[in-house]
Amino acid sequence: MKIDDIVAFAFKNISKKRTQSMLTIIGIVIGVLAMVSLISLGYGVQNYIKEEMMKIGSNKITILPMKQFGVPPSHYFTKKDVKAIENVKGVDAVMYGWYGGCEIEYNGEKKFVSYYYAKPSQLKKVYKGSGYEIDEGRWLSDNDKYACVIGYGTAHDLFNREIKIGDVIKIKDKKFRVVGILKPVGNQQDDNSVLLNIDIGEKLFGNEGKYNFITVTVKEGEDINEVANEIKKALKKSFGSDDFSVLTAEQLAETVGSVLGVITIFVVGVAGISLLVGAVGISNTMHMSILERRKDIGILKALGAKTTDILAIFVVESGFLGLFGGMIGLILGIVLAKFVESLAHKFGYLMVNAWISWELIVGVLIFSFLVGVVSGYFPARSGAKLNPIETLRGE
Amino acid sequence: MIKVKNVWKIYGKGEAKTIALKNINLEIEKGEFVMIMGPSGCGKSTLLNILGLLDVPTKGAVYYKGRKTSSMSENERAVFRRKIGGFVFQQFHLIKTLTALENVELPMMLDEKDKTYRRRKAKKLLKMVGLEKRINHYPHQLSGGQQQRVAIARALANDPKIIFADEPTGNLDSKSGEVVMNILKELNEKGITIIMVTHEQELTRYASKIVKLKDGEIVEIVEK
Ligand SMILES: Nc1ncnc2c1ncn2[C@@H]1O[C@H](COP(=O)(O)OP(=O)(O)O)[C@@H](O)[C@H]1O
Ligand SMILES: [Mg+2]
Repeated sequence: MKIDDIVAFAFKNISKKRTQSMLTIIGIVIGVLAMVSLISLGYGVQNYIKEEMMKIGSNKITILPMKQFGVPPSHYFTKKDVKAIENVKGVDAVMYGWYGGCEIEYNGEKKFVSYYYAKPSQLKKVYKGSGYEIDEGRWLSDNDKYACVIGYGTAHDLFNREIKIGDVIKIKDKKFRVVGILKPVGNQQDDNSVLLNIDIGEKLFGNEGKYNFITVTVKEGEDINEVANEIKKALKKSFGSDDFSVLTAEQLAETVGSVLGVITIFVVGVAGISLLVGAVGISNTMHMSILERRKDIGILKALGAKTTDILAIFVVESGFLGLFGGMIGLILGIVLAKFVESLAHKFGYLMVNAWISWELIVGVLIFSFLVGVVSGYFPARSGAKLNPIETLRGE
Repeated sequence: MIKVKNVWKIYGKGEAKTIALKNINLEIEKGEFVMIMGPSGCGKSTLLNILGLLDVPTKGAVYYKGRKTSSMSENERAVFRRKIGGFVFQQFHLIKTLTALENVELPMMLDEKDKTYRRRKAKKLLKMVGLEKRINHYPHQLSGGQQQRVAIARALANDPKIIFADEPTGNLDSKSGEVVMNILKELNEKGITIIMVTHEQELTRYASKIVKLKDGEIVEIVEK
């Protein structure tokens, strides 16, 4: 039998039994739906973070007082370390300060936010063009004391009453006047923030002379990786150990990316299991369907069909069942991912993005076709071996 | 053209053993209209299936034009069924999901004939059996007699040398049965060998040779 005839014959069988075919492919639909939406969102978030990191600056180096993320640092940077870094060739501006979490009070309500403090002029210089831009009011100046700049979320979302320029918020029972509000950056941690001048921040939080981050901009035309290496050397001397990390935007993106990659593999694994269940479903229904069509197999054999013709008809049929399941699952998966994306954007999580590409679409379709073929193979093989006389006898 | 030598067919073992055919010897020449007769369960279908290469004997040999067919591979037998033999069954055995036209096309599809040829030939054959107005009907939209005529058209699709018919009129009223018998007679007059199973005595008038079976044994061969 020719391949186009086999395909046409298989199609005919599927379309004649639409309801049964639909039931057969539900498992595949769900598996593919889960897989597509998870992959799409997983990669979308990853890509967004990478892009954002690149935006923050390909000329920036971040230095943290610990070897790994998530591990609390055992000691902090001091003025001496800052000096050492400032003396490294190729370093332009050096910003140092502290970030952490604290409670702020406004209009009788208390909310938790993240806070940053650094020297305002440095902050401005280092973060220029990185998405940290003033939406309303003004930036902090080096002379400001009890003044602060707050994130978009802190101003508009956090409290029952929105905070306006000139309003007063309380941090550690001290009053601060809001002089500026930042534009939204897209993640909650950064949007629900408050920025202070280092002079007052140090005293307020009791970390005088200690810094838990240093950010450096590199002079134009300098090789960022080389500068990063020089900083490492200089810091090792002044810091007295190598319990710190020197990260370029690229490295940062990779680190975050690999963490997300692990999560992605996990969710894809879960989706894979549901797909496997779908495959067992197809296999089972193919088996039933072949039992139902024992007679047709006998007729085909009596008409001179080879065993391989019959095998091919059923395998192609289940392959197409898989493919149809994959197509429906793909469409639903994309719709779901897009829905989650728009929902997340509505709530300000700009990092949640649906990533859809031709590779994903084609890959999923080929994959679901193969799942169909594999799950149809064994029942088809036993069907193709049926004895025509047995199947045609009786009635 | 067909030679059957000492053919036995035995089902099962021990207590459940059934001897369906006992030492059958038979020769069929080209152009004959052979009827295999006998009571129910005497082995008629078993013999026909072995002649048509749908089944293999337990012992003995079958030859087609001097070639031993009983020891052919499954694929070689499939080629024989496709190109040399054509089957017609008592229960018609059309494929329910295909139209009359598609059912007739099926053996040509298996034989890898191209589409336009298939269409033309199938239409011609359906016209020949008087069903040119029913080509797009599904089996359930056709009467028994019409279904059997579709089945005959299908059996003729690859220009067979022999038609194997197992009680082709068994499920039909006498009028439809006669239509079917007349088609078979015409085909026989065109040179196609017909081997047919029946237990209806009055149909023997169409036959040129009658093989009488009883309990798996040939009791008489009548040549006319
Ligand atoms: N697959 C089988 N297993 C066991 N016995 C069988 C099988 N097929 C046929 N028989 C037996 O062989 C005998 C001949 O059957 P069959 O050729 O169908 O008879 P007929 O067509 O003359 O009515 C019967 O006794 C039947 O029960
Ligand atoms: Mg019978």
